[in-house]
Amino acid sequence: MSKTSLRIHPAIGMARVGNSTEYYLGPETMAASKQEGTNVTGGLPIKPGTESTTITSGDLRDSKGRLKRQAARFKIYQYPDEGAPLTYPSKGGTEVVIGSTVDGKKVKDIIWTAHLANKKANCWEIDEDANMGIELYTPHTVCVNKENMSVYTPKPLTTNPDACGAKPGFESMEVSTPPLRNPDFGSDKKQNPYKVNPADPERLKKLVIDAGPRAIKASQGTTPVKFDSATEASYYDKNTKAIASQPNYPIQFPEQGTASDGSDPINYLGELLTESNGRLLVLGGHGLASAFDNQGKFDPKQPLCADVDNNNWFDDTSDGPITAVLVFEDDTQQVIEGSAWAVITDPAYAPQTLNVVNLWDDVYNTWLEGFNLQPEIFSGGTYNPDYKPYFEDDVFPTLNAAHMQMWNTNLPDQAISAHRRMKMFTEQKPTIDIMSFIRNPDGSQNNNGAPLMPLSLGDSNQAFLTLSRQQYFFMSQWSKGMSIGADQVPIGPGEQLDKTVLVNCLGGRFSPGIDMTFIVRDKDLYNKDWTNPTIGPFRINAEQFNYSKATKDQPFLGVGYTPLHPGHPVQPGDICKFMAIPWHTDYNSCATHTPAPNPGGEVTDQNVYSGKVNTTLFWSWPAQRPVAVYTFKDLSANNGALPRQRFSVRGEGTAAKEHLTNPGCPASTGFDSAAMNVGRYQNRRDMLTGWPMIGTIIQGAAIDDYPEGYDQDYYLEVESLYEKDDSNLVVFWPNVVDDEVYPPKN
Amino acid sequence: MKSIWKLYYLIIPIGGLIACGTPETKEGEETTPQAQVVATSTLNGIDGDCKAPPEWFKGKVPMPEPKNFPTDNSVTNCDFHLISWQYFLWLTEEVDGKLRFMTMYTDRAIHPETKDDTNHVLDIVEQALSKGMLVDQSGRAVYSNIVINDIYRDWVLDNKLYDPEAFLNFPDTADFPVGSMSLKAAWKIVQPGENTSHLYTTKADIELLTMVNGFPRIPSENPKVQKDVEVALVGLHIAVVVEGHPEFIWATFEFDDNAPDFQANQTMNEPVSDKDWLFYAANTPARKTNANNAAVLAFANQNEQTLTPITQVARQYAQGGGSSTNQGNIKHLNENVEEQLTESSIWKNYFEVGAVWFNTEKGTLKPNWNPNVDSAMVTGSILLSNATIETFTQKVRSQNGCFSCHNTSAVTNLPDSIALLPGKNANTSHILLKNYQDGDQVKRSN
Repeated sequence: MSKTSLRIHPAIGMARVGNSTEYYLGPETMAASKQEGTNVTGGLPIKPGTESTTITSGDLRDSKGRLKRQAARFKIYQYPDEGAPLTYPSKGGTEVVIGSTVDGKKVKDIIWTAHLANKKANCWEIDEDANMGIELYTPHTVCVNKENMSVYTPKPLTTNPDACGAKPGFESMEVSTPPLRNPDFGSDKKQNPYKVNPADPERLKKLVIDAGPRAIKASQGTTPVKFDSATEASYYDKNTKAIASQPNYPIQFPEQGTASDGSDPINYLGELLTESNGRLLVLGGHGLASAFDNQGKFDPKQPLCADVDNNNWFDDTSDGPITAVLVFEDDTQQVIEGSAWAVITDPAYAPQTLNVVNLWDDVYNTWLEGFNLQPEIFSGGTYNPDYKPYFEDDVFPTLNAAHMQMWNTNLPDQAISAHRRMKMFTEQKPTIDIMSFIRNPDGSQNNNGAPLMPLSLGDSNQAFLTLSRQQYFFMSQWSKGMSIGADQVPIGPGEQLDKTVLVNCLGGRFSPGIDMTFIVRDKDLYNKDWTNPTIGPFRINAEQFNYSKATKDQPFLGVGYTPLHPGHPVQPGDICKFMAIPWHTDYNSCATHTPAPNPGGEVTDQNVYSGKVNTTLFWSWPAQRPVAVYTFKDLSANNGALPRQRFSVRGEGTAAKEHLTNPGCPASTGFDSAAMNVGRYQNRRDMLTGWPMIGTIIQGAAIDDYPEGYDQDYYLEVESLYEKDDSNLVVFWPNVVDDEVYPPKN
Repeated sequence: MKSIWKLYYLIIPIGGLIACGTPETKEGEETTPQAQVVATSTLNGIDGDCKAPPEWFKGKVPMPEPKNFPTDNSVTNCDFHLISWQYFLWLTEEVDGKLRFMTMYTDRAIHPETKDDTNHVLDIVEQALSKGMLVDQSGRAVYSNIVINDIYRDWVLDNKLYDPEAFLNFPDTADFPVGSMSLKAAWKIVQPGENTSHLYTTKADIELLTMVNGFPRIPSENPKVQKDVEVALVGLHIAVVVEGHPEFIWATFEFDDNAPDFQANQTMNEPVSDKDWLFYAANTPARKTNANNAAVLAFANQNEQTLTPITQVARQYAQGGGSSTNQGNIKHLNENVEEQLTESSIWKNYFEVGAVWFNTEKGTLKPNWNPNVDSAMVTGSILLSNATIETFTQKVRSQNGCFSCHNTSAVTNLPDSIALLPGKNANTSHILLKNYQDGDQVKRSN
C-alpha cells in the first residue's frame, strides 16, 4: 500500500458570482498580508492562466463593463510518509499536476467531479426576529398564530410550553429548527412553517435547484462543462474507471420566463474548466435572482419584503463537493479518498481588506476546541497558558485588520490614527494594556460598545462582535509578552491554501454573513476522520452518492444537512442554503444598523432620547461589504490627497429616506429614520440590478496608471459604474439615528 | 485677592501630600503648621433637602475646602453638588474687575516658560471629539477657553509632566493632588443691541476663523486675534479633585436661558420647546437639535465671521440624568441658591446642570479604566453634558458623559513618532494629553 496520501486543497474553495462570462482566479494570498518582492499586499485575485500574477484594476470587468466572476481553483497535494494519525499542521506537501510523480508513477491526467446545487428556497429561515443563529436548531418552544400562521420565538429560548401565554391567539409548539422558508408553497392557504415537511417531494423538486454532477477530464478541460439544463449530468464511475454520463439524473432548474425588473430565469449555476496542468477551476453563476409564485411559475412580480428570508425567490449561488482521480501513464488510477467543497457566493468588493474576524478564525476555533486539532494550544477544555502564539500569524492579522477598516468605513481621524498604531506593534509585549480595548468573547461584554473592539455589530443575540476565542487567547498571550516573533507557523502549502481561502472570507457576525454562516461552528458539518491522512482537517462531511441510481422522476437530493442534528451528512447545496435569499437583499441592507439586540430594548419614538437604548449606528461587515470608500477618481481630482469618502452603494435610488416601503410589502411599522438607511438602495429590488455597478476597493499599487507620486498604500475604489453619486454625504462616525442626512457632493 | 491666594496656598500642599505620595510636591510648604489647620467640612448636605449654607451669601463666598470633603459614609449626593456650587460662586466672584477664574492660569502655564500665563484668549471653537462647532442664532461660533489653578499647574511643573518623556514614565497610579482644578468656560459673542441683561458679559480677545482644510477653523499657527470683543458667559465646566476623589468631580453650569431640556419621552418630530432660547429657535423639532455640523460647516460671511448652519441646541438629559435623588438635589439646590443670591446677582441666572463623580464603595480610580466598560462606580449625573460645550456628543451613547472621554484609558491615536501612552490616572486631564500628543484636542477613539 502506498505511503503517500493525497488531498485536494483548498478544503473549501470560494468562487464568486459575476455578470460577465469571463473570470479571474480566487486569491491565494491572505488579504492585507505583506508579500515578498512586491509592495502589493495579499488578497488580490489572480489572472487566469497564471500561477500567481495578481490582477490590476483593468482586470475587474470585461470589455463590456460586466463584473468578472471569481473562479475557485483546486489543486492536489501529495504527502509522502505522513504516517497516521495525522497531526496538524502538516509541514510538507507538494502539488501534484499532470507530469508529477506519485509513488513512482507519472500522472498523465486528472478526472474531477463536482456537483452544484442551491437549496435556499427549501431551507429554514435565519429568522431575523428571533436572531438566535444556530441555537434555533436546539429544542425550543415557538408560538404559532392559528389564524394567520404568524410565528414568534419566546426569548430566551425555552422548552416551557406555557411560554406563549402572554399573547392571545398563539399556541405553543416544541420545535428544533427555525421556521421553514416558503411554507405556503403549493398551497393556497397559509401554512404553519414548522409543520411543513421539507422532505415533501414536490418541495424537493421545485424548490431545490440541482444541476447535478459534472465530471471533467483535465486533458480535455479547456472546453467548459456547464452546470446547466442542456448539459447531461456526468460523474467518475469507479466501476468503469471513466467518466459516465447520467442522462437519468433529475437536473432541476426553476421554471423559465421572461426577465423583468431584476427577476431573471435561472438555468445555469456555473461550469468546470481545468488548467493545462490539471488543476480544476469552478465557476459560479451570474448573480441572478428569480421570482416564482406558489406553484413554481416564473413570476417577476413577487415582492422582496425581507433582508434575509424572501419567500418566492431563487438565486444562482450554489455549492457542492469536489472529488478527483489521478490517471497515471500506466493507465492505473488513484482515487483521492477525501473531497473538497466549492462554495459560490457574493462578489468580493474589497479583496485586500482583511476582516477582523474572518471565516478562518471561526472554522479554526471549531477545530481547535472541537477536534483536538492542536492540543498544544487547546486541550481538555482550556487554552494552554504556556502556549506562545506566532505573532505574525496569530496576532498581527487581527491588529492589521483593524487598521484596514478605514478603507471601507467612515472612521473618524482619531480612530484611523489609533488603528494605524495597531499595525506598528511587534512581537514585543505591548506598552499599553491592549486587552482593555478588546471585547472579551466570554459574553460578559456583549453589550459594551466603544472603546471595546471590534466595533462592529454582533453575532446572533450579541449587540457587538467579539474576536473568536483563540484570537482573544493569542492576543492575551502576546499582551503578556508571550509570543514568538520571526518564525512562521510551519504549515505546508496545501494546508496554507485551506487557511488562506477562509482568511479572505467573512467570519463573525453570522446573520447570516456572506460566504458561509454559523454552520461552521457545528462539528457535524465536518468529516471527523481528519487524522486519516487521506482526509485531513477542515473537510466537509460530504454525503456519498451513487449517481448510477438517479432517476428522472425523483429528486435526487433530500433535506440533507441540518445543524446540530447529527446523522445528516452534507449534500450539494447544503452550505449556501443558510445564506440570504436572494443574497442581494442582505448585501444591500448590511451597511449600518443599530445593535440588535439593542441593550436597552428596541428603539422607539418614545425612547429614542431616553439614554436607555443605543441609537448609534455601527457597521455590519465593512471589510466584505464596504460602506464608505475613497474613490480613485476623487483622489486624482484631489491631487493624491485623500478626498472625502462616498458611499460604496450610491446609484439612483440610494438617497436615504425614512419609513422605507418596498413595493408589494406591508408598510414598515418599526422605528425608521433616513440616517438608518444611508448607503443602500431604498428599494431592495434595485440591488438585483445594481450590484454589478458597485466598485471594487484595491490598493493603489494595483491600480492601472496609478501615479507614482501617490501613496501606494491607499486602498481605493475603482471600476464603479455609478457615474453620479445619488446617495448622501458621508459623515464620519459616530452616526446616530436622528442624524441629518445631506446630499452628496458631485 | 492677596489674602485669598495666601490661604489657598496653605491648603494646597496637604492635598498634594496626602493624595499623591509618589509625585513631587512643593518643598517646605507641606510642613507649615498652619497648613494642617483646616476647617472641618461645612457642607453637611442633606439629600432631599439640598440647601446652600446662608453664610455663602453674606459677603465673600468662603473658599471651598477640598481637603475637608467628607470621605466617610456620611457623604451625601448633595455634598457633591454643594461643593460644585460653592466653587462656581467662588470662581465667579469678581477679583480686580475680573471673575476669579479668569485671574487663574491658562493651560499654557503647565510649561515653565509660560508658567505665569493668565492672559486668556478665547481660542477654542471646535468641540471635543465631535469636531462640531456650536453656531449661535446670529451665526457666530461659541468660543471657549481652558483655565487651571495653581495646584494643578504646580503639580504638573513639579513633576515635569509637560515633558512628554516624563509624562510617559510617570507612575500610572499617581493621582492629581486634592485641590487640582481645571475649568472650561464657554462664551457667546454679544451682538450689537443684544439684550444681555441676564448674562455675565466681559471683553475678551478671540481668535478668528479662517478656512482650514476646507472648513472654517482656527488655524493652529498664528491665528488672527480680535481684541476686546464683548462676550457673554454661557457655560462653565468645573473639574476639581476633592479629598477621596482623584477622578475629579466634574460639575457643569449654564446660563438659564441657553436651551430647553428634552421633554419626558421626547420624540424626534416634536418640538422641544415652544419658546425661543439663546441657542434654540421656538418649535424646532428634537431631531433638528444638536445636529453635528462638522461635515457641512461653512462660512456664511467670512469677514463677519458668520457660519452656517445655525445650531439648534437642546439638553437631552436634564440634570445630566442619574437617580431621582440626584436630580432632585440639583433642582432643589439650584432653586435654593437662586433664592439666596441677592437680587442684583447675575449668577441668579445660572444653574448647575449636574455633577458626576465616583461612588468609592463601588470602585476607585485606576489605570485603564473606561466607564463604557465598567460604570459601576460612576454616580451623580451619569449622562452629563454642557449644552454649549458638548452639544453634539449628548446623543452618542459612548460619548454622553464626562468620564466617557476623561478616563484613564491608554492613548493610541498618536502620530507614529510618539510612544503610545499607557493608561494612567492622570490621563483624565486632556490638557496633559493634548500636550503629550503635541497636537489638537485629544481625541479618544470612542
